[in-house]
Amino acid sequence: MKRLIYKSVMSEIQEFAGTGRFVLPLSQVGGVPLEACVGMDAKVERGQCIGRSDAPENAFFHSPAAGRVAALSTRVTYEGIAAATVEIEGDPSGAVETLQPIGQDIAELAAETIRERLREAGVSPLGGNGTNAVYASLRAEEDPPEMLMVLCADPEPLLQTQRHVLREAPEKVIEGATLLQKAVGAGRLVFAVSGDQKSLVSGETVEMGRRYPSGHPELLMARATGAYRLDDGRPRKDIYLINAETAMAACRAVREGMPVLDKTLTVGRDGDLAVVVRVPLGTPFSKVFGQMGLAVEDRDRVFTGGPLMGVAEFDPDAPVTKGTDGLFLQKAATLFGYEDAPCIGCGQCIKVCPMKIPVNMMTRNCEFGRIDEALAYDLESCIECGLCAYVCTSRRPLLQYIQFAKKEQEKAELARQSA
Amino acid sequence: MKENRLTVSVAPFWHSGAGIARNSYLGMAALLPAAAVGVMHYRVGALAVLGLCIASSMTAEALMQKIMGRPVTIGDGSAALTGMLLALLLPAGTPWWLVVVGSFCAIIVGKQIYGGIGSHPLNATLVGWVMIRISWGVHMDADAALANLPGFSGLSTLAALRGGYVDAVSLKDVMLGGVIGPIGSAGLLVLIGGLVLCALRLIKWEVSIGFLGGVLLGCVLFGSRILPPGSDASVNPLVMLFAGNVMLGAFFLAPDSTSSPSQPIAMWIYGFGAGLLAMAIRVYGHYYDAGVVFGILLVSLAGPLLDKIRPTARGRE
Repeated sequence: MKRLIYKSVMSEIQEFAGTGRFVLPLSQVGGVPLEACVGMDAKVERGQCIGRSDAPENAFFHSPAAGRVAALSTRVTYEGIAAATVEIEGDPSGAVETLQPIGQDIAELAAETIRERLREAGVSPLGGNGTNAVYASLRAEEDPPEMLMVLCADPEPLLQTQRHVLREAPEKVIEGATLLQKAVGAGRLVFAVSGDQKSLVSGETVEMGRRYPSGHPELLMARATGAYRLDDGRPRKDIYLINAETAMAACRAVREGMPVLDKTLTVGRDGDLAVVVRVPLGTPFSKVFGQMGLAVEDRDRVFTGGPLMGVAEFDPDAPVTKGTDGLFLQKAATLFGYEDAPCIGCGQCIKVCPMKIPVNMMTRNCEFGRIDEALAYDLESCIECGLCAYVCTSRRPLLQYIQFAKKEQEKAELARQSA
Repeated sequence: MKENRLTVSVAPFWHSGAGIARNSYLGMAALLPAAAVGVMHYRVGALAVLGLCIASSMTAEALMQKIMGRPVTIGDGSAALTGMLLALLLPAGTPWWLVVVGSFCAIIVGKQIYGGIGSHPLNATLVGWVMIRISWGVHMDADAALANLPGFSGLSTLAALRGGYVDAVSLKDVMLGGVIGPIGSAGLLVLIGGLVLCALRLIKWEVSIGFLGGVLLGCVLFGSRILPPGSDASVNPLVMLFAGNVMLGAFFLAPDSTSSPSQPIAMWIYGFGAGLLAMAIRVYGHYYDAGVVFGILLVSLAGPLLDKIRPTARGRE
């Protein structure tokens, strides 16, 4: 069995730019969609606000390019919500319309000031599509979280994004994390790092192991707090979870007045080629692949996130969003298929499950919608790391069965509440 | 505009490469040395039983799946492995019709009527073997079946022990085959094949080790009772460990994926219980040659119950 080891492959972050059309669904990780505040054919500056919302947990959206609004449309986002979408034709390399930098010491800054700035600059959780742990949205609550956790390494083997961001500017990540800690009122600040990153951060750390899924956010949070708080729901209420890139964006928003205009992501052809690039938000996937010399062809698979928890994409021209951490292409000839086959009881899934779930019995019940039985077999403990499906001898789509059952349970819960 | 239609599926997008076919064929490959030695000792008769067993098992599976209107899956090798295991439990020279009946019983009664792989409560190979052993025991007697072959006369290892003829049993023969017994009696080669499968993580090694532990404990506790009362000879535990299909049972029959439990503690109890019971039946039972088979079958019945012994999932403490 191929073991899933985290490997660090460091290279320079490549900047991908180039004029063209940028498609910007106005949605954010963990938030509700925003409203467009520019009209058709309007001229926009790079860094100009194009989407806003009155909800306090929603950050604004800015144009990554100088140009004009070419279309206003609606797109179904990663989360499955229809979001207002602004399409901008223009150049992403010019000067940025920034906000006024704030130079004061963190101690002198009011939490409210930082929150307002982060909102204006579009600092919502970056990355997180396909981590199966929900990154927290900015919020000011009466009961602040006990801990702010910053993921400085990537949760999955193929991804290299966060470790590149941390190496690029560790001092900015640390300062941004401190700003965010103040903004949300978290008691402890904890950096989740891999062994080789310990020297880059200062303060409290929790170290992930060498093998997947030790970098899974749910497991890291449990290690940092000493408890699995599944009854809390997801995201956990006691931990504010973000990654290094979000911390860096927070630092730049406050100190340089820089809005979020681009996203760092690992791009590659699965297996032999992966580089870390920084692209303007809204760049179509096909263009990102094109700049690496990769062509997307019929029946290939394109997925965002990592190879175990990611999400397959049906549109090769879908845009890079604030949630995109990784973007990979698998050629049609290399794909494996799931099978509608019975469980043979080999027990491999039980051996790999990090949550000690009787996966064989749980998924048999999930498959046929027997939700109560699946719950009795610990469905709620599942963190959807995907290892069971990875090792399944019968090649059953176990993660799909689990996600299906969880959705069914949600529906039943809603029906019970409304009744 | 050229449309690119992408393949869409749920995560994960990687797979370890495990598969039923791979497990079956690697299992057969691990048995190949033992089968080859069997053919070497028992000549063409063993080859005939092996070939006929595998062929008729696959035929039975295909036939049954056709009748039931299910997809024919003989390509995954699971029926072939069942056939091979059954053949290794039979003596060379077993009548051809008995081989065919045994294979059909194994595949149809042992496996397909429950819905095929993944659904049968008992090990299919053992069901087939037990049915013909109980119905046509005379033809399954290794001594009688091998009587026509030159150089084979006397008693099977276990029969010799029960008769008190300890000196007639040679440890070397018990480990490397060539005794009066079934085709797969080269216990050492079966052990090596089984260890390879354990190293490749293809079988439930907890069951295998537990089984061997159970056999050893039984050997220590009451192993010498296999000798007739009043005998003052002693039994070499290694003979007990390699004779009478213990190795086949430990590595190929007891850890059968479908009929054995999957929870860590349950696997140990299951393996250990089967091993201990096998020894008890061998020493005290009437079907002493079938100790391993009956031991595994009986403990299999408790498999689902044993699987209730499971750890508390994380987050539910």
